[in-house]
Amino acid sequence: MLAVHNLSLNVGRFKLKDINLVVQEGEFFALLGPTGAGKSVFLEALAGLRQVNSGNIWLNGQDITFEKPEKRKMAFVYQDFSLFPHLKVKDNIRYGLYFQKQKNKDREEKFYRYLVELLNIENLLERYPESLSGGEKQKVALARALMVRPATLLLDEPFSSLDFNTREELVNKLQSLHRDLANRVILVTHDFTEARILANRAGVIREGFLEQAGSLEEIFLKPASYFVAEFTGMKNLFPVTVSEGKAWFSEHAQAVVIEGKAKEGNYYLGVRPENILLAKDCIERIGNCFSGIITGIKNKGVYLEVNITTPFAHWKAVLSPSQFSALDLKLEEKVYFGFNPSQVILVDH
Amino acid sequence: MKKRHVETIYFISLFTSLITFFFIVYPIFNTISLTKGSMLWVTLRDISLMHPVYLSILASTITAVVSLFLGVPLAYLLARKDFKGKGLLESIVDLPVVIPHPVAGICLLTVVSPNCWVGRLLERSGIEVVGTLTGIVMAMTFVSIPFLINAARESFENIPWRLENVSRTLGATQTQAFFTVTLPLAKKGIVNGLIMTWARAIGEFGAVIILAYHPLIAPTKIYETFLSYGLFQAIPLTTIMLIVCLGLFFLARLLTQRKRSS
Repeated sequence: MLAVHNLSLNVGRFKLKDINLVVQEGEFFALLGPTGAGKSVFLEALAGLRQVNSGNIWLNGQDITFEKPEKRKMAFVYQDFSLFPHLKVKDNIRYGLYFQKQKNKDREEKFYRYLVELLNIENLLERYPESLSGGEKQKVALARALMVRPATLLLDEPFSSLDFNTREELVNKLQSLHRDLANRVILVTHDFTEARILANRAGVIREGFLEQAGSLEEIFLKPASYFVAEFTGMKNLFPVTVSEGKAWFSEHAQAVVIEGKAKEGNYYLGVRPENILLAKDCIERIGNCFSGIITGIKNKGVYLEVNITTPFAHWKAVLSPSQFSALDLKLEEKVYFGFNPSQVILVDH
Repeated sequence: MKKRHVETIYFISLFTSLITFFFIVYPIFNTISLTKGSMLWVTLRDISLMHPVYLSILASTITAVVSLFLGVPLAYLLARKDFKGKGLLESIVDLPVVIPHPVAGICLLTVVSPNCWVGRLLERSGIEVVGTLTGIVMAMTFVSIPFLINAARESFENIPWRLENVSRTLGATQTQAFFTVTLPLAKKGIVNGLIMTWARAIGEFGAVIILAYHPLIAPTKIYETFLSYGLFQAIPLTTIMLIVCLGLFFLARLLTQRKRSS
């Protein structure tokens, strides 16, 4: 088990504040957050590449806070691949073996072959990194990190600079590798979808502070803060007051029906845009039905985003192109929209 | 057909380049062209004239090696670590470049003389500086080491620290990461710095004559010949030094270029 207790550290003016986190053996954990949130700094602190100001890092019951990076068995993969430019691909992959004290050549060779075949990089072995594409470089970086059989694999936005197809291929490879090797993986990413595909659990970090950690479902369905809700794709977030089992928009006599019993008080009401249904007539059975004016239609490539303005809020809904043409929606037109009370999320104020 | 338009700035650049190249190349070419073959042959066979040339090559080579061992670790420190007083340290490294070289020689002389504790310590250790090869190397190192430190530091700075980080997480110690990743990648810059250091050292005169006028190195011998016998007597040795310096300089450049292309 890897446990982080009250970890704090300063990098210039940036501060990582009181991080508490547990990542189990074999777990795939995703650390989410926007650029500059402190994800990479945290990962480097875990690897021993940055000195912490306070707090502790425990690995299987041992305090490794001040352990040297080479003793931690944590291999690092950076976003920019960081391959050694003076070494051929095969020497990059084998680099870590040079420093291992116990050597079993047959076992190493077998594992090397396995990685090379699985990542499909046989044809690259005699080449230097400068002649490789981004995807190829990342495969080599992954092979190099895994070759030392790390207890923990630290991935710092490994797919962010890759094109869609390469990213998809690498995500699949990483899934297979994690299934086969079962080592602990901590993936830093700003892409929630990537985290949902790969990780069992996740944490959301913002300005050096871990806002929430838990299962992906928990983070998606019960965001702990306005920031987490927004980061995970919640586009309709409004301040409301809950009373009598309903969420009331302040200064408007308009309420949203919610499911279950929420404590009375102030919240943010959240509805994901994909959960909003649009229609020409009111859909009463759905639970919450309102009317508004279409004030914007944005083509986002694979889907369309429709902005609806009501006297109490501005809403966003998403539609597939076929749904959109079936409804024949036009700007400045009146439209009905609704959502199920079970899809309403209340976030603490 | 449209006329190809050439920007004015390129005309200016071409003009100034021609002046610069003429300024550098013509004096060298002129000196060599003034050298008579017979005089050159006599000089080459005269051991008293050639000894200073050998000594210059030896002393500058020792200087380059000493600078390498002293300068590279310091350059690495300056490139990789931020600490209080780093700016001051960087300025100190550049000091020998701005100090007039006879002044540098005087400064060194004050330190190695018996009036200073360093001089007394050297004396007690049996190390003679004034008027020895050690003195020549000391003077050469003082004025030329900044070239190596700055070249090596720049080279280290251009290597992403992430490469060292990755190396360490793969099991290398900081020292192993330095020798297996950083040093091989900085090699080109260090070798260039080494060539510049060597070239600066072999041409040193001002600091050397203060600290070790004897044994004579080539620049001192040329100066002495020029003062005693005039310009034309000094030309053969000057030409030999030009050939030696340019030959070794181009050879070193060629070797580094070849390594780069391979």
